[in-house]
Amino acid sequence: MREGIFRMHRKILIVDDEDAIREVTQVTLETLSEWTVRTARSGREGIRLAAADHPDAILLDVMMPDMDGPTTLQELASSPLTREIPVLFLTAKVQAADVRRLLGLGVKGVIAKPFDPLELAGEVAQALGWEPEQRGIPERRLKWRES
Amino acid sequence: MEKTVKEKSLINVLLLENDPMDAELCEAELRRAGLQFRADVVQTPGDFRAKVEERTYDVILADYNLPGWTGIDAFEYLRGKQSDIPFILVTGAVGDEAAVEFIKRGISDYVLKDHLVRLPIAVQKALEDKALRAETTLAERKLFESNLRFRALMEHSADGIVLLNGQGEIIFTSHVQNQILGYSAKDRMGKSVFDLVHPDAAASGMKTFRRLLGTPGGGAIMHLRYLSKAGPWRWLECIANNLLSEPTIQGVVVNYRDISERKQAEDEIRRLNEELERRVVERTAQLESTNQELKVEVAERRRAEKILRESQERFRLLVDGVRDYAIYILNPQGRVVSWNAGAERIKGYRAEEIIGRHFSCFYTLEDIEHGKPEADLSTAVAEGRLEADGLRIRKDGSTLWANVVLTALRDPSGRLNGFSAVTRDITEQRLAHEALEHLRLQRELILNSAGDGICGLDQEGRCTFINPAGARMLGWQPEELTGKYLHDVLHGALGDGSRCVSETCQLQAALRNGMTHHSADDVFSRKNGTSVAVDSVITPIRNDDGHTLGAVLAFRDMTERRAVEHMKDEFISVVSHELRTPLTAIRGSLGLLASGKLCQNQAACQRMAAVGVANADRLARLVNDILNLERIESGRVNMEKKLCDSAELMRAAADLMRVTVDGQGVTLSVELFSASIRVDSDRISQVLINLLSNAIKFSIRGSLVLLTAEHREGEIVFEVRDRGRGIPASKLSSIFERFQQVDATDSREKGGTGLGLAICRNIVAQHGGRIWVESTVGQGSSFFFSLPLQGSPVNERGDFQDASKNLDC
Repeated sequence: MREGIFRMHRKILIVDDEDAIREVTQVTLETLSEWTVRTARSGREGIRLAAADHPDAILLDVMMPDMDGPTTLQELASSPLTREIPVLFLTAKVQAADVRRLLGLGVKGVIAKPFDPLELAGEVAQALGWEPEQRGIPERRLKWRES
Repeated sequence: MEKTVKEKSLINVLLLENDPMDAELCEAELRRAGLQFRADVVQTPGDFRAKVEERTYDVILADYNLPGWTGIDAFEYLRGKQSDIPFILVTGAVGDEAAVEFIKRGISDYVLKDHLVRLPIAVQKALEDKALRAETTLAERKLFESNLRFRALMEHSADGIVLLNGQGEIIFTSHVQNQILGYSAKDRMGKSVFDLVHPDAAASGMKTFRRLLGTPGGGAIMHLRYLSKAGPWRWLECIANNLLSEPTIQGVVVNYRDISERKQAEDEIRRLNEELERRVVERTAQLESTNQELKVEVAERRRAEKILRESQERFRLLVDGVRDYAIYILNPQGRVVSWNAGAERIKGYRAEEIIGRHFSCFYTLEDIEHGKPEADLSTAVAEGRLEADGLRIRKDGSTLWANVVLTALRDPSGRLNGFSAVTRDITEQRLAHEALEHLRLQRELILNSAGDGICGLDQEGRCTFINPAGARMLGWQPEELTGKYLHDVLHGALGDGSRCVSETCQLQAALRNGMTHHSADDVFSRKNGTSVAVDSVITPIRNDDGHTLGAVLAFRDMTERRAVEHMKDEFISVVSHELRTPLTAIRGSLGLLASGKLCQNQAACQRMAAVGVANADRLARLVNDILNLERIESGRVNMEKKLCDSAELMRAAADLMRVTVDGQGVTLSVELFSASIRVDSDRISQVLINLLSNAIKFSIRGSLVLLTAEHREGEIVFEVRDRGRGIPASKLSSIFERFQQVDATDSREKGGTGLGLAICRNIVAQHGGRIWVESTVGQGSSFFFSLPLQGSPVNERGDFQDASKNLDC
């Protein structure tokens, strides 16, 4: 029962230094899914929030000042509080070599910027292996596609 | 006869009688017969023996029966003493047998006691017998003595004598005891003399003996071995005379003597002779052999001398005939004593011209001044030989390059006889060598000046040479690498820790398959273990039949180029990121708006639309800046340089900043400086505006931003100073690079693209100026840029100072 409710209400953490990206991503996910979204403007803040909130997934930017995405990921993996949280990179680094390198760091997936806001939640869910029928988003996407 | 006895003397009589009466009767009877006598009477054997010793008796009268002994015992005693005193027994009764026995024993007579009257007759008869006996044996004795002497002579002679009968039997032997052969006469008497002759002489001995028998009076001599009684054979020399017909001898007389020692001595002498002869033969043979050897040696020496003479003659002819070498002899003082055809050809002197002259005339004046001819001779004396190349003078004064070998000539005692000099004209060789050297130097110069590494490999892959650039790139001295296996050195340990496998290594492959290999991304190890990225080409060297002799490896240090490429990649990546960021925001916001999902939320719609617009603007600025930068960098933007007043440019920029300054609550102070500069005023304004807007952006509200300029060593130097947070020292060098903001968030917060300073640097560079920054964290930064001055400055301090003050907010 508790499990089902948890599934219904995903908690997503977005870590990105660009105000506009954070805003657009948050609005996208909140509008097109029933997930709860929190944002952090730096890796450091992201780690703190992750440890505190224990989100279901983290969308992590790669190119950030001070602490970049891979470093943040390493720190998340090194802490027992955040180790289990699945992470996806959301990045403007889209060259094949970059993507290969990023995937090798132990993330669940790499989503390229710019992204289609209507596809984003589905891509996240698919990457994390979340069941389609247990999510509201894919049906909506299907409906949207049908319409 | 009687008379003679009486006359002669008193008769001494010894009377052996134990009965004094009988003794008296005997004396009385003798007296009665008228004999003149004196008588000693003894009774015991001791007295008898004493009296016999004591005096000489003419006759002894003895009783037969005596107490403990007989008259016969007394007679025997006398016989033992060789006494011939007449002995008459006076006895009682005696049988015929006893009487015969008495006579047989040799007693003179016997008288019966009961018939004593016969005693004086018996005495007289005995005395007469004795006297007769003495007379008749005198002649015999003389002969006998002669015989004895002869026998003694023979006995004591070293020679032996035997007398043989016609059958060769011994009938007499000279020695009772043969001292030569050890036999007694008894041993050999009657035996054949040939029994004991050595078998090897027995037959010839008998033959000689028979021949001797046929020649009465003849003699023979022979040497033969004869068995001695002690055993060994003795050598005898025998001289036989046939005296069979001689009536007194009637035998063959053989004289013999022992010649064993002589024979032995002879044998020894013969042996010695033989030995001597043998030695003589040997020695003779040796002498002959030596003699032969000497003969051979002499012949050989003569032959050698002949060959030497011929050789010397040939050598002389050869030397004389040699035309390519000047061969001449110098005396110890250096004067020429012989001169060959080659010398004449090379030096130009004929023999008669040069012989007797000092060889220093071949040297250059300079060499002579430096004492070189004498020095060369001294060296040849000291070291035996001198070889040197040098310039020499011909008779006609022309010069040649000569290779000279001077050899000191010494007699067997070591005394210096002179010098041989062999000179070769090496002028052409020298020229060729110089040309070669020139080529070598040229080649070396080319290799040395080449920026790329060039390296030769032998068939095995060993380094045969490497140019300085190549060695430098690899961190070795060129000579250290020579001979090393290049593959081991260059691919020994690659940067990533792996090892290049020899089988697949292209350095090896080129040598193996003779193909040229090019590698754009090879990595070589340096001596210190670091690695260097190289672009390399290895080209095999093949001879005419296609055989690979080695290879040439050319390589270029690609570190810098790869760094540049890396920077380019990085730049593209950054640009991509910088472009995608606003694009993401635009795409996201427009996507949401387009989906209609936000329709219920008006505020959200407006917000997304605003995000889209802002990011579209940002994207536009970015694109502009990138294009600008690219165009300025590539020189495609034409700088429209016109003569301007620096003060005008400063004023215009300050004016443009007015609105911004107001917005930030910052005071801008401008100290105008007027100078004539030839610039693209729009571009320089852009630089000033960029620097001012940066300064204003990073200034703390209420602080001062200062724009000044000054003349400095033919340049005008502008300065924009702020009191902002300053720039860490680590960023000072990279701040003019693209997208190198001190803080990446700045571009978001301050609206910059990260390209402003890069654009400034390019514009300044295009004007032949420089741009730099000085900063202290927490106190502020000063950006400077310089521009070349065009003529002298208009005035040191413009009157814009006041105007600037007006600008202060």
